[in-house]
Amino acid sequence: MIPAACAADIVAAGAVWPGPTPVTRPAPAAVAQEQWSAYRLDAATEQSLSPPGQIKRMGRGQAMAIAAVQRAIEGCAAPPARGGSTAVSVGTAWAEEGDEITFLENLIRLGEKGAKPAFFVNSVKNALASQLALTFGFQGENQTFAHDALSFESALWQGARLLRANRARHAVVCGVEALVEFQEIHGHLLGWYGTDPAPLAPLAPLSAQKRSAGQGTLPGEGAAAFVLTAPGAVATPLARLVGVRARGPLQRAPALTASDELALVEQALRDVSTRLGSVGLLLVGANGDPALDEIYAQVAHRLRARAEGLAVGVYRHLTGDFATASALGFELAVRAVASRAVPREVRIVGGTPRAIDRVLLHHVTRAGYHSAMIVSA
Amino acid sequence: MSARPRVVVTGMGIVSAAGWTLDETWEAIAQGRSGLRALSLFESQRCGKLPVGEVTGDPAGRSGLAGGSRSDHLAVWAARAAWGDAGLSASCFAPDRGAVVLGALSGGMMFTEEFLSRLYFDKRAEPHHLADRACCNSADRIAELFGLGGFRATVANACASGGAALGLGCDLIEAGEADVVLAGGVDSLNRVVLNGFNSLMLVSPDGCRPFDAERKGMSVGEGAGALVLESEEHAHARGARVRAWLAGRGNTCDAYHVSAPQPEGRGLHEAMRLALADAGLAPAAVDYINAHGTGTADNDPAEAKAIRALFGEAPPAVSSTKRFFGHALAAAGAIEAIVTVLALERQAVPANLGLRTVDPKIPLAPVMEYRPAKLDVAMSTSLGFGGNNSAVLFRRPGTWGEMT
Repeated sequence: MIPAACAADIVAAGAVWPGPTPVTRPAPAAVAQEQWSAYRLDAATEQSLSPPGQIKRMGRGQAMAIAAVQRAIEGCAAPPARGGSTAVSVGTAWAEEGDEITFLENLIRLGEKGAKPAFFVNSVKNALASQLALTFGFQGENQTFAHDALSFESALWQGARLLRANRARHAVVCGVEALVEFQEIHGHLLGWYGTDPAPLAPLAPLSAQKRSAGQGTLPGEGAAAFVLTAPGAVATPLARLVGVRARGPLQRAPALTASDELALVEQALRDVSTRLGSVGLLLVGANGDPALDEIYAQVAHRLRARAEGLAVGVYRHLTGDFATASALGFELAVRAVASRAVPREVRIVGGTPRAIDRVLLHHVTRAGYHSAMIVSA
Repeated sequence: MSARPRVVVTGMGIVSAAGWTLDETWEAIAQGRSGLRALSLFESQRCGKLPVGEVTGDPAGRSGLAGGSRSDHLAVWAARAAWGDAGLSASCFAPDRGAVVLGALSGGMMFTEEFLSRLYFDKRAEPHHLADRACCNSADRIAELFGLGGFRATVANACASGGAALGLGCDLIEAGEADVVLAGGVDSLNRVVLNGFNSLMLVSPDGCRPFDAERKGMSVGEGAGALVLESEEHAHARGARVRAWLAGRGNTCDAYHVSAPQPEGRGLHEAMRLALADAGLAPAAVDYINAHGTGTADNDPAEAKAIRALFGEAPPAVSSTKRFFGHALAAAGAIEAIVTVLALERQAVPANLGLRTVDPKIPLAPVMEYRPAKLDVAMSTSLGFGGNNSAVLFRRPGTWGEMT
C-alpha cells in the first residue's frame, strides 16, 4: 500500500497523448497473428517532440517526458525554479526500453563490437528523470520509480512527501511510457492483448460493445506531468491531490475480486476523511480486458448504489493500456476539477455528471497492482 | 509538533563478490582480499578477461526461491539474511505497515537477452521467462515472502539507487506510514551492463584502483544489500537490537551531464551537506566516509573535491571499498551502507584496496591500510548516471541518547 495522506496542490499539468484511434500494422513473425494494433503518438505529435537539433540522442520516452513538463510549465503561474528547490519524481515501468533493446539487439546481431554507448546511457532507467533535470535545470531530489503500475502513484506520493517535509518548493511529477515493439511482442506472448487476429476496433471500456476474451486490451503510450507545491503555497492551484493509496500483490497471479477493490477504494476515502457522496466522478482504468472490466463494473455499480449522483467515466479508449497510463487519467481528473466539468474526451458510462469538485480514480491490473487517487478542487 | 521519529537499522543482509554473509564480507575487508576475478557467468569476447565482482556459488540454489532471475535470487538471499538478523516475524507488524523499497536496474536482463537470441537465431519465441524480466520483480518477491503489504517501490536512480532507497525508507518511517521497511538494492551481471560500461571505456583491464594515479576505470560487480529499518520506538518495543541509526540522508541531482558528474562535485557536496543537516551534525562529527570511489577518471576527482570542500583541510578517514566487490550498480549504495555500519560496529576503517599512489588531482589521503579506529559517525556516498547523488549518514548505538 502506498499511504493515502499526502496532500499537495497541483499548480500545472501537461500531457502527451497518443492518437485518438489505435494504429493497425502487420504483426511480426513472433506473434501468431497477422495484424496488431496499438495506441501510438500520431505523426504530428511525434514530430513536435523533436525540434531539429534540440533533442539529440534522446529516446522517445525522454522526449515525451520533456514535452509533457514543457506543456505543464507553459501555463504555470508559479513555475518551478531552476536549482535545488525543485525536485523531480518520475514513474516509468520501462523507461527507455527502446534504446535498451536496440543496444541488446546490436550485441546479439553484430556481436560485442555492436555495443553503442549512447543506447547504453539511455537504457539506464533514470535517463528520463535526469534528462528532465538537465533540460530544466532542476537540481533537487531526483527519483525514478520503476515498479509496474505502482510507478506513477509512488512518484506522486514522493513528490507530495518532499513538499510536506520541506525538502522542495516544487515537485515535478511525471508518469511516462514509450511503446516499444518488444513490449508489444512480450505482451502478446503473455496473453495481455489477446490473440484474435482480426483488426481491432478502438477500445470501448465498460460499454455495450463487449470485447471478446480473444481481443483483450490494446497497448498504448503517453506522458503526463504535474507541478506540485505544498498546500496553500499558491493562491489558485488547478487542483489538490488529496490522497493516493496503492498496493501490490502478495502472491503471483492473484485472484482479483470486486470486494477487494471496493475495500481499497473505501479505505482510500476513509484515510483522507472524504465522503463518497462528495465525489462527483469516478474515473476508472477499465481497458477493454473483459475480466478487468467486469471488476471495474462491479465496483462502480456498488459505489453508485451508495452514492446516487456519482458519475462513472473511462479514459483508456484514449490511451490504450500501459503501466503508467494512470498518469493520463490523473491529468483528466485535474482538468475536471479545475474546470468543474468532465473533459469531453472522458466517456461517461454511468450517471450524469454534475459540477465536479472531487474525482476518485481507481485502477487495477491483471498482475494485482491496485490504486485509488483522490483529486479535489 | 512531535519530534521526527528516529530511524534505526535492526537487520542487515549482504551478498557480493566478497562473500555471502556479513562476517565473510568483513573478513575479506580486514584481510585486504579482493573478490574481483575473471568473468565466468557468460562468455564474452571483449569483456571475458576483465576482472569483475561476480558472486561465486549458486544464487538460485541458495535463495530458496522457485524461479526468478539472478537479481531476484541475490535480492531474496540478502533480504532473508536481513530479516533473520533483525529477528523479525510476521507477528511483529501489521501487513499494511510493512514496506519494501529496493534499488534495482537490470532485473532479469538475461531473460530478455535469451528471448531475443532465440527469436533472431532460432526463430522461436519462448516467452516463459519474460514475466520475470522486470526490475520490480525482486521487490515483489520479497514482499510476497515476508508479507509486506504496505508501500512497495523499485527505485531506479542508476548507481545511486541503493542510497536513494534507504532515504525513501526513512521517509516512510518518518511520515508514520510504515513500521518496518526492508530497504536496499540489487543488481546482477549481464551482457548489457558489462558491454555498456566497456563501450564507454570506463572499465579497468586490471581491476579498479579508486583514487590511484594510475587508475584505469571501474570494475563491474553484482550483489545485493538489504537493511531492515524501523522507528526507534518500534524496535525498542519489540526488544530488537539496534545496529545503527540511519541519522541523515541527502539526495540531489547535478543537472550537468547524462553520464559524467559535475567536475567539482557540487551535487555530491550538497547531498552530503543535506545529510549532515538532516542528522543535525557538523562536518567535524563524521569519522569515516565510505566513498563511491569507482576508479573512473571523472568520478574520483569530483568526489574528492566535494569531500574536501565540505570537510575542509582535515577531512575524516575516507576509503572506497569497490575493489573488494566491484561496482554493484543499483546495489552499490546498499552494500556500501552495510560496510559503513560494519565499520562502526567493528571500530575499524576499511582500506582503499588497490591504492598505491594517490592521484595528485585527488585532494584527499584515502586510507591505505585497514586499521582500528574510534568511529561514532560514518557516511556512505553514491553517484550515478544522470548526476544522481546520494549520501546516507549512520551513527553508532550509544552515541545519540537511546531509549531505555
